[in-house]
Amino acid sequence: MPADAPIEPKDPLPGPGQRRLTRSTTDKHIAGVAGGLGHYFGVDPIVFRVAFGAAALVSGIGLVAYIALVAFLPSDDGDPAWIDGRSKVTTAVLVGVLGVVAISMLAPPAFFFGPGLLGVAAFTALALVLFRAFGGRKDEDPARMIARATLALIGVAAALGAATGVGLVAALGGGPAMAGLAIFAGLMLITVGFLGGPRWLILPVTVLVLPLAVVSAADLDLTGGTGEREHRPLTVADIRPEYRVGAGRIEVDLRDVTLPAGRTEVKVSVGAGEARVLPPSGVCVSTTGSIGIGAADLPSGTEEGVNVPLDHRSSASGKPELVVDAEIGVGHLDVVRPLGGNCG
Amino acid sequence: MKRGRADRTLIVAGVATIALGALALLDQTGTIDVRFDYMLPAVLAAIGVVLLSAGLGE
Repeated sequence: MPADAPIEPKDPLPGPGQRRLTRSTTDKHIAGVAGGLGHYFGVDPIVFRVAFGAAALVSGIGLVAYIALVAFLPSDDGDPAWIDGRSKVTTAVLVGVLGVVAISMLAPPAFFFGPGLLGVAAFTALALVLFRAFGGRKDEDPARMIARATLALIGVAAALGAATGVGLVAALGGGPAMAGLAIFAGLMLITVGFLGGPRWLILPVTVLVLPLAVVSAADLDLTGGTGEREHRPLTVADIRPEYRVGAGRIEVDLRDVTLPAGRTEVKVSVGAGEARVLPPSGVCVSTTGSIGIGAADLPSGTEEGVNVPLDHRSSASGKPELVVDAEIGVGHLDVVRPLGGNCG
Repeated sequence: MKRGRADRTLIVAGVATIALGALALLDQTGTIDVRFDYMLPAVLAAIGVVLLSAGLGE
């Protein structure tokens, strides 16, 4: 089309009192998003261009936001948005991909592969399913939609509460019983399925199974009480077979202990929380065990993520060796570098 | 959903639930040690199978 040809609107533009966010066809450098935003908000589009550019350079999120706006905004000459007329599957896939990319850019890399993103996805899916379960449709009356969304939100809150309860029971020693209950619930679903029962029964079963899966995978064990505990043994004989706290913080200060030659093992278990170990000076510190979800600051370096292995063997070189055997469900382990050590 | 007829999605969801429950039971009793490396794909696969079943049943 020639540049001076008259443009015939395919979709009548809104009147003066009906502002509509669109992509600009007259003030554009790429797709007219910044121009459209500037026109809509009554500010110079250069503000949005700088913001998009800065956000794209800093974390890449500006690029994602720009792509999303290109896809979802119609043009001011009446052209519909790219997403208009696409299938529900295409829309869902695009929203999902953009959401995942945006979250992964805003959060640390571990979040993308870790439980954080899964949690966001599960929450979103649960909200959508509940919204539909309460009879919601995307084209219905706004008041009814808000009412249904509120109901769905209440449902999500109840589901999260129930999931937390199931997780706590499983982590406090009721895991086998909960797993048995899950198997029984599966059998009931099959029975109900053969009878043509309602599908929403899958939701409560999901609330039962998902926290159980997380507790099992993280080896989350909250037995052992809660609170903040400090232990400072003075001799090797004072060192307990295991230092444990279910939820909270535990500190094992071994700086007054003179370790004998050879290996001395200290076992530390935390269900959820933090463990700190202070070794005596002049020893080699080795670590073993694992962290379900969390991070570890060890003399050998920092580890973080999901299912973090803590296996690091320090070469003894004639010095006493302290082996910290740590099992952390969810949380942080801090093994302080000993004075005069570590042995590499 | 058609009442009175077997619902394949519910049946598949039941089987998936039993599989995940069995995995969790074996882990909780100390028979096997299930880590996120295995549990996460298992959960996602179970969700995928149920969604596939629901989609194919439409």
